[in-house]
Amino acid sequence: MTAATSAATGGEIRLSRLSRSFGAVHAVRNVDLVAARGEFLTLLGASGSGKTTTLMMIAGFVTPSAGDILVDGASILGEPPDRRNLGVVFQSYALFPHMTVAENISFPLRMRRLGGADARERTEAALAMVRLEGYAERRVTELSGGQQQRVALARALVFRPPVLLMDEPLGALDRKLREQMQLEIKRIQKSLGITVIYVTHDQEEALILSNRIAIMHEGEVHQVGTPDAVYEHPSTPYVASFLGESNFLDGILESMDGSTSWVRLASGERIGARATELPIGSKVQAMVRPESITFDASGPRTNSLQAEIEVCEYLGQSIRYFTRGAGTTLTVRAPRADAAHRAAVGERVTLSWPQSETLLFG
Amino acid sequence: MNSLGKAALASFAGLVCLFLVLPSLIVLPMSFNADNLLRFPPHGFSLTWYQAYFGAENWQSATWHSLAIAVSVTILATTLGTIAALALIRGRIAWRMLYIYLMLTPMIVPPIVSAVSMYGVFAQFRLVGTLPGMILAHTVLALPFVIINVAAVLQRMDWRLEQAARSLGAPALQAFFLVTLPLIRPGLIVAAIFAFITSFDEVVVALYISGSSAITLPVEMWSGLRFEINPVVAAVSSLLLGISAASLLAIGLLRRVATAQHRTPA
Amino acid sequence: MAVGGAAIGPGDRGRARAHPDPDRRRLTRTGLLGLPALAFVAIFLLYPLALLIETSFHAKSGEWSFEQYARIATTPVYGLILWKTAWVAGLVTLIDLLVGYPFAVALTRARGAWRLVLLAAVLMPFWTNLLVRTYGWIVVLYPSGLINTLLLHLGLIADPIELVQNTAGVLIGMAQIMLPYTVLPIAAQIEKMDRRLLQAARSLGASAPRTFWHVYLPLTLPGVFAGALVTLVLSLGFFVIPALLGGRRDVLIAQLIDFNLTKVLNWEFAAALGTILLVVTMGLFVAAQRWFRLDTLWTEAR
Repeated sequence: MTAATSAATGGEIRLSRLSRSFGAVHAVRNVDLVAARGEFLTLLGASGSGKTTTLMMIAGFVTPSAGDILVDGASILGEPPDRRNLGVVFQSYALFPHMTVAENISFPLRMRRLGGADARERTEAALAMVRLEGYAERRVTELSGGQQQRVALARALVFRPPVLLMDEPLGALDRKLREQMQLEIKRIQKSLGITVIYVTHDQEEALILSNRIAIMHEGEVHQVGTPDAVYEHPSTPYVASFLGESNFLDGILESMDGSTSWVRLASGERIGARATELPIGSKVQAMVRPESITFDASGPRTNSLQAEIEVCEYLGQSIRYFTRGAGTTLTVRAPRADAAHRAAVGERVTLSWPQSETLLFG
Repeated sequence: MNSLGKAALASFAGLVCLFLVLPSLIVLPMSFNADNLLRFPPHGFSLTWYQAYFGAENWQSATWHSLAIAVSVTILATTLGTIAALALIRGRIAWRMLYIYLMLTPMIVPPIVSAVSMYGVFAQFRLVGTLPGMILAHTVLALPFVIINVAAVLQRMDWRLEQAARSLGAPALQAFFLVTLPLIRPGLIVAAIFAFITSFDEVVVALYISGSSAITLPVEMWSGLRFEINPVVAAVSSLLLGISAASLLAIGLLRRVATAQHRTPA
Repeated sequence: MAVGGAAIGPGDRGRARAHPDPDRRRLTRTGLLGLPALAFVAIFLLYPLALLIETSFHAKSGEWSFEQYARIATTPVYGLILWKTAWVAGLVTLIDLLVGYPFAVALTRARGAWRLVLLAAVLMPFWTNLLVRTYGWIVVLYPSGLINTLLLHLGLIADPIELVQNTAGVLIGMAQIMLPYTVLPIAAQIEKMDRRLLQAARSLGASAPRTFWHVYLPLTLPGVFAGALVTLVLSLGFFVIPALLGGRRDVLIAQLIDFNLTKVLNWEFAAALGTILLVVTMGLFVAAQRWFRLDTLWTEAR
């Protein structure tokens, strides 16, 4: 996915060595990020990773302990929240219960002294954009969760901010509704060309929505990259385990030849992995994704390990096995098509996977 | 809010506190006044007014009346109110909302109207000027307070505890006495204190129902303020303040006991 | 959450007949526990009130007549007293709103020891005897009392100001007594507010003052109405403060009722006045109930 769209109206937002500590706790540490015009950047991480604190610093509700925030080159650090001109969609929507849908949406316009026919027009346009035409005079307390979410979105966009901040907006919706809204958000973002900083703990959501993902852990950004990049080439074990599933095997880097590294596992076997810059002799963790492993016999440039099936789970879309091999538990994902020839619990199998799919971490 | 706003708000709150508290506290120095002139600051230091209070027959009998009535009201109102609260929370009542409104009437009707109407009926039954008459009148006034308090406590209580007792073989009445009652005891005591204070401090209804033979402390104080300011009132006021402070403390401690109870796993 | 009793409604009656519910009997029996208290209130208050209302429709001679009400309506003095009662009650409510609202804001913002101090101060009127407080006000407001002595001492005035035995005394005394009734509902409403709404308003471009005006204040209005109503109703029927702190010209309806019954022994007239006060009080409460049903639509967007 390319970052910029043709109709990019969004602004560029840059976080420079942004930090925030609460006493001895470093909630956010030296975050350096840039979201280009019209880019959809997601901050992905577990609770406590610092992603929401970072977003709140951008919005102006939390003061950074250090660092700077720049929108289109100008620092917004000195500005109070009402002067930053950024759209914010809160997790709980925060719609004003004493106002109608139209009054909620036109609120930022009124604050900017925009009234009358112009405001009405823009409110109608915002409602149309989130597909809620005709809902203008409804009370917000009468709306369903999904509808309220769309009103919150319309309200944050009606005044055409350069950047939109979204704090886990889909968390309260059920699965089907969430998937629908993800498509909506993507559609709206593309058509407006607005820059979005999106916070979530749902990795699937991040992969679907983002141009780039920044994985955060304990206040630091572990990796920033396109969904492809972070999934196929995770730079830290945390990123590897947070996105998708992963198996880790401990061992020592024995030797390297050309494009293959050779690792002697703690359990004795030898496997091949992608080339690495780690020095020979260092302790390493070899990572392979469950979907890369099959029960086929080994071939050229594949690794193989003996294992015994412990658990077999039928997940509808795929089958998941927990196997015991190389002194640890290894997860294997088999496609649904193989359901008929499922391996049985207790069966001894040979696990094999391409060497090129094995990553090393020091 | 900026710091100037915060400072202004804080000072304002302080002034309002003063406004709320000053008239009550000021009686303390006044009670030690050496002469019987009403002026502040009081001159001299003397305990004559305390002595006058403890020595005067009318003040002592008024105090005794108030205590006797208040204690009786507490017992009667707490009992009636508790079972009424049980009925509301745990039972089925036809026209439940109507019942609630009717039970709240003593709180909503202006005291003067209650007093005058009660007087009409009580006079007929020769209850005016009698202790039983006062007890009945004050119980009616105290009931809503007891019901509201006990109902609140019952709602907060974890009903599964009594159900567990039932499942272990305890019949309904026993389960109530052995499990529910101890758990709501702090709330019951708070309700009882409310009932006591409602009766002990009540003046308007007492003015009508106490007649000449069941005069209560507030009525005696009223006489001491109506036409001339009787300085003994200052001494009595100080004593009453002490009692109020003590009950406030008691309730504060009980509330803490109650919340501690709820925090421990069932 | 409540098991049994509270959850059963009128619609269940049909179902219960078809399948006799053993729980029903138990619940109804428990419900009967409410009868003693009800009987108590009915005999000793509701019946007397009914009697009062009935008495008001009699002439002094005993036959049925509207003459008492006619007298109230046609005699200017009584109209004046009713008007003064309403006026004083209204002013007390207004004062308490102006003083109570900021105090409620301060109370909800206070933390730790300060919160306890403010809470104790506002609850104090509930715990101190009314007559003690009234006596205290006399001491504070008397010509030789606290305020006058202080002002004379500081040289700010030459002669003592009349602050008691007049309307000023009544207003001051009642404003203090009623303040908790105004403050507590407002504070409760503020506590319920979703703080995110204030943040949302800021993020949409509203400065702090504008956020207060457009979001904070409207959301506290149900509490304001509740507090104002309780204060107003209580002030209308108040007896002790106007009688002790007021002057000869500060006769309000409660004192008028008292006068007519104890001094003039005119039962029927006192009953008529009492009925008017009762009806107005009840009427205000009923109106408020409907209003609050509407208001609860506002509370919380989700």
